[in-house]
Amino acid sequence: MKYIKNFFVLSIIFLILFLFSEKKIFFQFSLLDIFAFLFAFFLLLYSIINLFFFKKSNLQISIFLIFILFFFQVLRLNNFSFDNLTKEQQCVNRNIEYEQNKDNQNLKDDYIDACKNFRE
Amino acid sequence: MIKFEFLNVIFEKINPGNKHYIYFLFLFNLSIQILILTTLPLSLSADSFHYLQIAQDLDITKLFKVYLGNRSIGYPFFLYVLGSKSFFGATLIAFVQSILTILIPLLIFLFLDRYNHLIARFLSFFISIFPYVHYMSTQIMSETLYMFLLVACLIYFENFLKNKNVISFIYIITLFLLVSLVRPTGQLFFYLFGFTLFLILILRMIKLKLFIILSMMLFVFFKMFSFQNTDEAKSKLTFLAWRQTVVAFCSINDPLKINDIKNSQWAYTPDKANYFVIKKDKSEMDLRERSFIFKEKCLNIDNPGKNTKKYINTLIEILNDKKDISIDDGLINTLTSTLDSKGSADKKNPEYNNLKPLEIIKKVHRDYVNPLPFMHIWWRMSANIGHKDRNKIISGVIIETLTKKPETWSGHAKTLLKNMSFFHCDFASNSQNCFGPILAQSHHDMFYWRFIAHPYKDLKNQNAIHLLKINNKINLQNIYTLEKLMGDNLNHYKKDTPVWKKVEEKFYKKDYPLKGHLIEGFNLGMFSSKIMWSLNDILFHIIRFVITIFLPIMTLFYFIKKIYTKIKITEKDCLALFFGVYAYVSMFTSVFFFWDPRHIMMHFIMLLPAISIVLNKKKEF
Repeated sequence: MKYIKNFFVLSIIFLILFLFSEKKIFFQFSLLDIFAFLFAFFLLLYSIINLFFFKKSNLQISIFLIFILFFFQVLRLNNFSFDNLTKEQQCVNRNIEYEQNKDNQNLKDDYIDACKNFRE
Repeated sequence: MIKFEFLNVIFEKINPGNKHYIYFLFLFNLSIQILILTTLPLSLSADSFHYLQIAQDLDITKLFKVYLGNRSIGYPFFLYVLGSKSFFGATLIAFVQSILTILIPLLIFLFLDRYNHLIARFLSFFISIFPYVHYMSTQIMSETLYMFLLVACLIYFENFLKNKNVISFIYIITLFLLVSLVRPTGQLFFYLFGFTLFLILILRMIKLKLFIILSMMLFVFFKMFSFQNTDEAKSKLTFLAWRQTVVAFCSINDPLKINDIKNSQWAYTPDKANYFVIKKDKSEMDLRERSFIFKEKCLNIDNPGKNTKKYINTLIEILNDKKDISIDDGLINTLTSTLDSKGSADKKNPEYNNLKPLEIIKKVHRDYVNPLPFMHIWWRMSANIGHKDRNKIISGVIIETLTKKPETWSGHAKTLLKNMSFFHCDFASNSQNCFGPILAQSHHDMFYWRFIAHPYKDLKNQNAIHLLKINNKINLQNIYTLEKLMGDNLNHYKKDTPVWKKVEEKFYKKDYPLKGHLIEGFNLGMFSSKIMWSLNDILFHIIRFVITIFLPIMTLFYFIKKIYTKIKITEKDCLALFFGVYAYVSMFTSVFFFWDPRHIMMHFIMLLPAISIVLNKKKEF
C-alpha cells in the first residue's frame, strides 16, 4: 500500500504526457518520448544500484512497470495522425487505400489529390 | 489444475536467495526495452511481410486452409491472435514481444541457478546485454517468440527428466510442438527426443509400458506438426542445396580447356556484384576475379549425366508449354528477361532473342552466378510437374553433381569456416567486421527502408504489391516510426533513386563518423542501429569463440575427466547434450546453406546449459 502514492504520481505524469503527446517538441519527438527515454535510463541505473545496495524487490512495482511498458508501446505506435507522415508517404498510403478498394470514388479522389505533386 | 501446475514448474524455482537478482534482471531488461523502443522503429523486412500476409489470410474458421508457403503456422497465428488484422495493428504484438524479451534472461537465470548461482548470474546478464535479443522485439520476426519457447523448453525438459511421468511429458512435448510450429527447425526436437526416450528405456530409467505410451504421444504430436507442414517447407533443404549447387564453381580438369585459357588474353569470371559470369581481359582482373580463371560451373550442362539430362528435358518441356508461354510470370518470359531488385522479370533481354529452349537453358546456367533464375526454375517446375517430381529431379541433379565433382560445396564450406572462425575479425576495418561484410542483412532489418514504396511511381509499377496484402494500420505504424527516427533527413524521396538507396547513402560513406548521424539532422534510427550492431558484433565475436573453440575443447576435457574418474553421467549432462546437439545441428545447417549470423545468435541460448556445466568446478560435475 505504501507504493500507492508513487503509483499515483507516476500515473498522473503519464496521463499529462499522454494529453500532450500529440505535440511534437523536437522533430517528431514528443515530451513523452523524451520522458520515456529518461525514465528508462534512470530505471537502468536504479536497477544496478538496487542490486548492490538497497536489495529490495516488489511485485506491485513490477506490475506497474509492465503497465508503463504497455502504455508506452500503445502511444509509440498509435499516437500519430495521417498528417504526421510526409507528403510523399501520404501519397503512397492513399495509393494503397485506393488499390484496396478501387470502386470507391472518394478514395480515388483522395489518391489523385495526394499524389498530384508526384505523379503525372 | 493443470495450468497452475504448468506454471508452478517455473515459480517453484524462485526462492529468497535468487529473487533479488530476478528483480534486477526484470528492471534491467525492462529499461533496456524502453530505451530501445524510443530509439528504434517498428521495422518490417521481407520476412515480416510474408508472416503478416499469412496472418491477414488467417481466419479461425479456415485455419488449415490458408496458404503458408514455406512457413509454419505458429508465428502467423501468434500475429493473428494479437490483432494483426484489427485496428491494433502491431501494437499488441510489439508489447507481447517486449514482455517475452524481458522474460528470456529471467527464465535463463531461473533455469541455470540450480547449476551454479554465480554462473547463472553471469550468463543471464550476458543475454541481458546482448542487443540481438532486445532489438528483435521491435521487428515482426519469429525470433523473439522462438527464443522464448526455446528457453521454456530448457526448464520443462529438466522437469521431464526429473519426474519422467506423462504430465511432465505433455508439457515438454507441447513446447516442442510450439517451437516447431514457430520455426520448422524445431522438428529436430522430435527426432532427438525419440532417441532420448529410447536411451532412457535402455538405461532402465523408465518402464516399457510408459515408454510405449510416451512414444505414441510423441508420434501424435509429430503428426500434428506434419499436418500443417507444407510441401515447400518439407523441400526447403533441397531448395537450399539446389541454390548452392547450381551456382558453385569447380576447377577445370580438361587439359585442352586449360591450354585454351592460358593462350587467351581473356577469360570468364564472375562480375564484381557476383551476379553474372563475364568475359574479361586477364590484365584487368583483380585478385578475386583471377581466382576464377581456371574454373567453370560445377553443374555440367554441356555434357550432362543421366539425371541432369532428365532435368534439361523437363525444362525444355516447360519452356515449350503453351500455357507457360501465355502467362506473364511464365518461365520462358522470366529466363529471357532481366530481373529487377525483387527478382521478378523486368525487361526483355535482347541476348536471348531467337534462342531455342535448350540454348536458353545453357545460357542461363553459364551466365548467372546469382541464384535468382534458378529459384524461378525451382518454382515453375513445382507448378508444372508437382513438388514430388520436382524434388526427385533436382535431388538427382544435386547428387550427380556432387558425385562427379565433390568440390562443389567446398568453396562454400571454406567461406562458412572463414565466417565462423574466431580469428576472422577486423574491428579496425570500416567495411568488414566479425559478421563478414558490414552490409549484413540483420543490421538493415533494424531500420529497414528497402520495402518502402516510392511515391513517384504507382505501386504496381514498382512491384510493391506486398503493401496491399497486409493490414494498412501496420504499414502506417511502420512508416511513421521510420520517418520519425529519420529526424530532419526526410529529403530522401528523389524521383530517380530508390528510397532505401538514399536513406542508406551516409551509412556506406567511408569514414562517416557515428555522431554525424545525430549532428546532421538527428538521424536517431541510423545512429542507434549502428551502435546496436557494433555492440552486437563484439558480443557475437565472443559467441563465436565459445561455439568454435571454448565449448568443444572444454566438453572433450569434461568427458575425458568423467571417464577417467569414473563419475556417472548425470541428468544435467544429458540435458546439456540434448540441447547442445540441437543448437549445433541447427546452427550449422542454417549457416551452411545461407550464411546469416541470426541463426547462430538465436540458437546460442541452447548452449547455455553446456557452458554452465563446463564452467562449474563443483564436485557433482
